[in-house]
Amino acid sequence: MSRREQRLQQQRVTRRRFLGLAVGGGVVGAAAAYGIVQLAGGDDTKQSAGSSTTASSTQPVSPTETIPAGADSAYARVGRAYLQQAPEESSTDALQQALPPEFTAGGAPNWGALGPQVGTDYTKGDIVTLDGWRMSRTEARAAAYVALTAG
Amino acid sequence: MRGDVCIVGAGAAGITLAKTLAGSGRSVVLTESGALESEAETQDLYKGPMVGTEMQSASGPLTLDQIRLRFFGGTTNHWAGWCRPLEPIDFGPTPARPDIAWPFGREELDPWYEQAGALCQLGPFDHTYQGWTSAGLSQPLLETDLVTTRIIQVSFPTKFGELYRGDLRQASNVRVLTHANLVRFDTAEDGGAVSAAVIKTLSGNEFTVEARVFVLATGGIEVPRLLLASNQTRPKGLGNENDHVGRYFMEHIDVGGGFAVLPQSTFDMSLYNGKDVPVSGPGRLSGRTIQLKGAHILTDKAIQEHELFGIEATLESSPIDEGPVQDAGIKGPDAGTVYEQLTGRKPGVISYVRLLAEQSPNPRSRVTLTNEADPLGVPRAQLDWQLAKADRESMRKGLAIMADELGRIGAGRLQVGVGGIEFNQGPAKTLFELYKVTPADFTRPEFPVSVGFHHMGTARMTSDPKQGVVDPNCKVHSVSNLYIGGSAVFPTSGTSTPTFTIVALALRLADHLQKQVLV
Repeated sequence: MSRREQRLQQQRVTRRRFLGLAVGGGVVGAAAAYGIVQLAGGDDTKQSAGSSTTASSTQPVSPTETIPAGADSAYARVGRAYLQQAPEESSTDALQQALPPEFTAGGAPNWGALGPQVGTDYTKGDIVTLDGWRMSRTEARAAAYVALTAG
Repeated sequence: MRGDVCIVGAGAAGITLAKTLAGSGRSVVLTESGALESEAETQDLYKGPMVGTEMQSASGPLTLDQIRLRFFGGTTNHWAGWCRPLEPIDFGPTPARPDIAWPFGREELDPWYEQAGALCQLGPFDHTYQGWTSAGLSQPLLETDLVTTRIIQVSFPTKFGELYRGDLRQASNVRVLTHANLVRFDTAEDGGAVSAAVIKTLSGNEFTVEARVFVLATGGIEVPRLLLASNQTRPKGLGNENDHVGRYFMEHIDVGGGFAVLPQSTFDMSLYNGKDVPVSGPGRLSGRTIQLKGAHILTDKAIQEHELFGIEATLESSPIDEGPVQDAGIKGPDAGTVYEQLTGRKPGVISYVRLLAEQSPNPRSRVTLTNEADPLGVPRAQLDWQLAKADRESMRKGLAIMADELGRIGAGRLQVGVGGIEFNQGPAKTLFELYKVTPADFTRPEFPVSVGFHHMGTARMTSDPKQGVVDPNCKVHSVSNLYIGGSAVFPTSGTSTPTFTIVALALRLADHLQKQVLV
């Protein structure tokens, strides 16, 4: 067990001991244990140049490829959440008008075409919350488009 | 019993005071309600009703006897050891709380923070990221105009009762009394000075401690309880001429803020997971290591322009194969897919965001006395904790700023979910199932809150006697020889855990007593 793990363990034991003392064995605890989980697979080779993660980078990352998303996917769920928030946009025509033309020009959604408009959204503060996710309105519209068109 | 100084309460403040006054040539009596270990009968003296906003736990709402420890060492017997000073902006008025400020700025406490670091077994007094670059910390996730980085130094955690017991035992001028419960202060006829501390034991003994100076250091709930109960000559209680004793009770809202999804391999997360670094220094620090842990806070610009209270965000981790953390993997692919769709980047890390938020000083949030007395005859305390709508809204807005900055610079994305008590133990498919919030929590006026067990503000420090309880030297405005130690005197809570500031204030008070009062 590493020193850090020992320290964490000690803190937990201490907290448990306190709880045992004060609560008589009941479990109290704001956020007692939390996780960082490495997600399986993938690589970071698609990072765009300059997509540094500190303040020196101000450009949002531009998606560079199309990723399949079915109607049951969490992504489509996000899109449906947007349509609930903005029912006036609940048609592919309305969404196509609001999205960059290149997004659907080739038939399948082209996420790579969203980048500049996403950046503008962030600059303007045009951000929405969908299913908990904070995202630009353009990203939300793209998800909504997928929700409407995914098979 | 007589002494030059009578200190009531052997927690972080009381022990710091007694230890500092050891060898001073002044006789010190330190009284502690509990023993050297916890005892149920003594702990029960803390019992009392809680009304107002519920402090949630996995087993239901918390009670007054669950959120404190009543034995030698006080809450340092269970603290996590996180130390970070209050920010300079915490001392002044802000657009969100324009009417309250400390009577001095951060610079007044800096030398005492420096000394407090030794007692808390920390490294050099520097909590900036830049100050620790030589320690090889990994890059911070966010450093922008609106969000900045701070370093929490994690004490071992230092248990004051265990570590400094020997020093107090060896000090010929310090007398420590355990099982000694203050039941009230007796005063001169006009109530302008304390003449004696009346002490009782659960076994039936009663005696008084007479002293030139009294320091009440029993925590943010017991301080007002005992001031209000000392009403023999002043019917409203000591120091309560202007009805401030017990009011402005503040806690740190300590809840989940959601999950951050970060690109794979982009970050070395050691800054957030905690990094052990060797430190050198006087005494007990030699040859030891401390843990440094990164945290993000809102900048002054964000707080002022958006009229917010402060928040502190930390990214929490523990070994993957431990308990509830495994559950995070269940929702990981779900969040990862959304992230990948949004950004076109492969997700690499999903991390729980923990928030510690400032609460605004609210006069309706208060400690009062009940009609029921404890076995020693002291009226039990009632806590009416009032978390304002503005506190919750500010937390949401502050977290949204952090999330948007994360997205704006392409560092990752945040699925926010303010609230939540702890991870569910069973299978969970979504973020919200995982830690007991729902999407509706974003629009509900209230969400379940857990707390930091930090009790502040109930005897607040002000220059104007009409606006608070103690003066800038922690002396009760209207009582010539009664001082308050601990976080009860905090006019604002900031977002840093309070023990470090409690110790700094106690060192400052000890210096004041030695140089100005006990001469």
